[in-house]
Amino acid sequence: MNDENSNNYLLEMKNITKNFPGVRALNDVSFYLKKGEILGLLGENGAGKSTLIKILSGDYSLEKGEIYIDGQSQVFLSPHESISAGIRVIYQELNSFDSLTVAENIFADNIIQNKLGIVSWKKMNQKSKEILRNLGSQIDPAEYVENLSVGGKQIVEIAKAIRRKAKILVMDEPTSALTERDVEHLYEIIRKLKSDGVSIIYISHRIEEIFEITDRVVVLRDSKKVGEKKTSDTNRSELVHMIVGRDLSEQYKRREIQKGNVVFEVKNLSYLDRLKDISFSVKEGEIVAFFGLLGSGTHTLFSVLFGDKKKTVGDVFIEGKKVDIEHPFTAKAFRLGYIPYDRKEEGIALGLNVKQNITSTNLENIGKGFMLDRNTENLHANSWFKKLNIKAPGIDTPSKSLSGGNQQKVVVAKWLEKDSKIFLMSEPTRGIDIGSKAEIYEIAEGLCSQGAAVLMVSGELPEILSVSDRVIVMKDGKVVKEFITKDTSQEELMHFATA
Amino acid sequence: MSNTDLNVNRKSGWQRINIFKVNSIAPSLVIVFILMCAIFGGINPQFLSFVNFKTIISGLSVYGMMAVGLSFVVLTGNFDVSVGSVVGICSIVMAMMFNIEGVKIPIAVIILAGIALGAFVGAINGFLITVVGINSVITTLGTLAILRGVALLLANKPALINDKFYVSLGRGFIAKTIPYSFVYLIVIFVIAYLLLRFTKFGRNVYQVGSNSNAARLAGIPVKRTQFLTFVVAGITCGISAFLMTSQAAFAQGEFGTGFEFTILTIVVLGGISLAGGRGTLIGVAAGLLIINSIANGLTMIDVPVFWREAFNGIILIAAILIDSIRVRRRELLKA
Amino acid sequence: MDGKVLEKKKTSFRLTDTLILLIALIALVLIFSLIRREFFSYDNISTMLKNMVITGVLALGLTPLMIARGLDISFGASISFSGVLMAYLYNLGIGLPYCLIVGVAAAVLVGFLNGLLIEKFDLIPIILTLGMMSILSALALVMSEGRSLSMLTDQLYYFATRTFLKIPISLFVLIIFIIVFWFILTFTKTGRTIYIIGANPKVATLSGIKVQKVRILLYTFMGLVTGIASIVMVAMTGVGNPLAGAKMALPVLSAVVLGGISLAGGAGSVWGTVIGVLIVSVIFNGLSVLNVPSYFIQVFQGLALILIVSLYEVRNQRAARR
Repeated sequence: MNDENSNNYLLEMKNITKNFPGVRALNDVSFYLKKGEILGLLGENGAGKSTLIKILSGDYSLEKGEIYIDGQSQVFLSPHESISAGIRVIYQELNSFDSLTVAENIFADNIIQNKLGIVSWKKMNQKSKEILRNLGSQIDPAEYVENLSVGGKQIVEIAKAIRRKAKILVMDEPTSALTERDVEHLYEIIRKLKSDGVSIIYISHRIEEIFEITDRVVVLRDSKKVGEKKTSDTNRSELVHMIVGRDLSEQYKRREIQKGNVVFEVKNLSYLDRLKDISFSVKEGEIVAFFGLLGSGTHTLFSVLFGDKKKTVGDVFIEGKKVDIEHPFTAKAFRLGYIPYDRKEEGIALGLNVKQNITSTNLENIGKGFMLDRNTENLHANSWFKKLNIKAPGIDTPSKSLSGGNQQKVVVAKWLEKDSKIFLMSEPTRGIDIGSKAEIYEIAEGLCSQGAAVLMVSGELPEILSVSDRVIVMKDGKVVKEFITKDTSQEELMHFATA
Repeated sequence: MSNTDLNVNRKSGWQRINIFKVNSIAPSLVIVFILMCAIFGGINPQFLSFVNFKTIISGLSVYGMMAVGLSFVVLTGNFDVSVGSVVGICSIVMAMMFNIEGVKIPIAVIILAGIALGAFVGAINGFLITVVGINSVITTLGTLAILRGVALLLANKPALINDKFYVSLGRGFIAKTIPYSFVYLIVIFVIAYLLLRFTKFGRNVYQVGSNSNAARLAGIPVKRTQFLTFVVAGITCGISAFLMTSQAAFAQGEFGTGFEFTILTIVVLGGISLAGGRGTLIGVAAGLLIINSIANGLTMIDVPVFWREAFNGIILIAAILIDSIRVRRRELLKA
Repeated sequence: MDGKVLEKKKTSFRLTDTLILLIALIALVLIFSLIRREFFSYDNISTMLKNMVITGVLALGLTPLMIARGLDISFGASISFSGVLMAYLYNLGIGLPYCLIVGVAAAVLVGFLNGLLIEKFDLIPIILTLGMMSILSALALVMSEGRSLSMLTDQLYYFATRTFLKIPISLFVLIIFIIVFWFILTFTKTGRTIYIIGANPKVATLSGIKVQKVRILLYTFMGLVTGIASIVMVAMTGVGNPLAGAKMALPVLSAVVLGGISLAGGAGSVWGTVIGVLIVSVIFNGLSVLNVPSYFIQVFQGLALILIVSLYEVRNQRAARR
């Protein structure tokens, strides 16, 4: 591949390495992008895709390695510099001015004025219309962005990038929240851009899309580049193998745990239009994984189950008894514990110390009546501190100064302190180092061996396969299929999640 | 055709009757206004008389101008509770300039000086909020106290203005029907409307309020824009001070006390969202008309003065409840 | 290296924060005493402390509320309203205890309403309570027809004027409040819950804490504190004055913010608030002993508020940059 003349490359990233405290996010990754090419960037969650993109967009500083654009070495110190170099990233969370019109969003940073400095709405609308029509979209430039669907907003973001004459467009999971018709439309736009000479880096989980739209693919795994192929030279199973590739024997080895009675059962649960008719059950000692792509509703499901969002219809049974969970307070009383997806905003209060976080779920049992008993508190907190092997100077250490893995252990300790029996874990190992990951798995297993049940949302298939007993695959807010873990494979799960 | 359907959420009924097409509550305010006229007019037909109409129109200007200025501030997501005190200090200073012994300062200079003082005070607020980074409520609460204290220190008794021309600027009528003050108000409204709609600064105001993070990423000068909105608020306070002093022909330290409350009510009722980035001056005009007509109407039907004040508080709370419900509806739609 | 070392470091850091305020307080006292000998006299100090009771009680009530990221500025109007209500009822010939109970109940109801509306509709606290303030002050004027209603009773007079061990009795109310609030915030589960909510309301909710309920309770409690402050006010002045609390918001808020409680919540302590109240009172009293016009005192207060918050802000920004 290196024999090609590198002068043809519009973008080249060479030997990119990036470390975060305790984690190597990128390890010597190199790739190139040609003019008018659509490059698929593939990899599991945590493989390093978003770190790579954030270095390209100037969000993260470059630690080691080089970036060339049109053969010129570049250093991006801020998003602004990256934008001026012709790079535009369209993130999953769209950064739009919802209360303003489409035209204003497209021209947000370069409002059209006439010679007198008067804003020319007519011109702005007209030019926006041209850009949108060129993209094959019928969106009215005078429409307010908040009235658009997610697909519409995405088109506006693309229009914004085009207006700025972006040479390189990075699209991060652009189809994750789109309906099928919107996806078709997006493809058309992407092909149009390609024919206009724009280069695109297309990030996606969905293998079908990669074959539909890309010219070439680069696969990342465990912070390294593991493959690079022309799309026409590869096939689905090869790609899946590259993406998930790890030999399962390297993975965490699980113990066999005796299963008990059904402790948690959900029947026909719905929430607005985001969860539809969901039913499943979980036994004592069981770890059930929920797998789905972004927008499949797995995270929403957990926050509904824990009472943070109010279910629309459906029944939940705990140990055979029908329960009505309308607030996390009730969930806690029914011995549910929740490890939220967003650890720093929802899981742990960074302003409190370790001890205060651990006992926050169980104040009623720390001392009699109204009084908070410091000794009991220290005793309780210390016991979890030791049992979970939390690495910190002590229980009075501010939570802020802990590593991600240890913060997560504190969140787990919170619910152990409350003597929870049914654990809802949303991506419990997201962004934490391998050592802590294994510890979290061990903790989960330990819980199960004592009769607890664990429900786990995970986007990492090897994790699911090595830890869970059963897998429930979700898509578009619905349960697609349920598998016994040992009878399925990564390929099969991915297939049902994307099909 | 198909693409429009594809990318635009179906509008619910109330959005479809949105005649101003500005995602504002102006249409609902018009309905409120008509209902209100019907009620007051029903109890006291005098309410609908031409004479009373003139009274209402004459009373709009002082509040109206300040509401325009505050709208800029609230649109970027900040507050300014010092506006009443700014009017107080500007009024006193302008009146004092008429009373310097042996010196006759031209009226134009006095008016400009008053407006400049308002702008200066606004700049101080803006500096503390954008550069030092103090919360806007705390800052303006502080300047509210300081400016009121200074105003009272400067004038412990009313300062009279003996200048017929100056007074006529505030009290005069065009063709005995349209008060000058109303003309000033219209001019200011139009200028501000054009400023917000047709200048880069105006659009930046909306962008900053709509999503300050996106604004920062787009390279929009967020702090400078916020700073300028406080200056605009100060300027409108200066103009209001000119109008108040010329109508009253004197000034005292208490001028403008408690205005911040009424102004805030007008702005919020007019649909300028407290979350920023949303609402138009058309709504503010409607809010102004309603608040003034209510004050007038309650007098016409002989509601005691203190009850009228209580009514103002109820309207403010109603307005923020409506604002909150609208925000919640939008979020639910988003989900 | 174990936890104890860190713990000590942290408390000593907190102490320096309070220490600075304490030094500022002592410096102020010294300066005023040097300029005017009378400042440090028994008469002046006891007057100052008596005047401090109402500010202090209100600032204490605000402390837990603001730690939990709430805010109330309607207390001044609420004091006026309750005071007028009590005096009104008293003048109708209703027994003193009943008058007081109804007055306090009204303030409690106001606090509850504040909390209910703010929490259920997710309103900006300062705006809602601003509206409430206007309603209450108007109602106080309506009920009193704009006049002060006299309410002189032996019991209240006794309470306002007698001393015990040369300490004004009313001051004991403040001392009891300080102890109660310190106790609640430091030693009880409720206190801890308040700090957890202030640290991160979302985390608190997901830990099974009923954040809305706790906050509504705190607003209601602020109402109770306001009601008691209103009794003290009526006792000291002998009237139900519809404008009694009109200018309370600034000194009370200044005192609380001065004591280290930020509008962003999560931080602060009773001792910080106490020192904040002392500083505000010393400035107030010192300037009036120096015969500075009251308008100037108002200017000074506004300046002090802005200056101190600026200092906190600059320090926070430095810390964040580190």
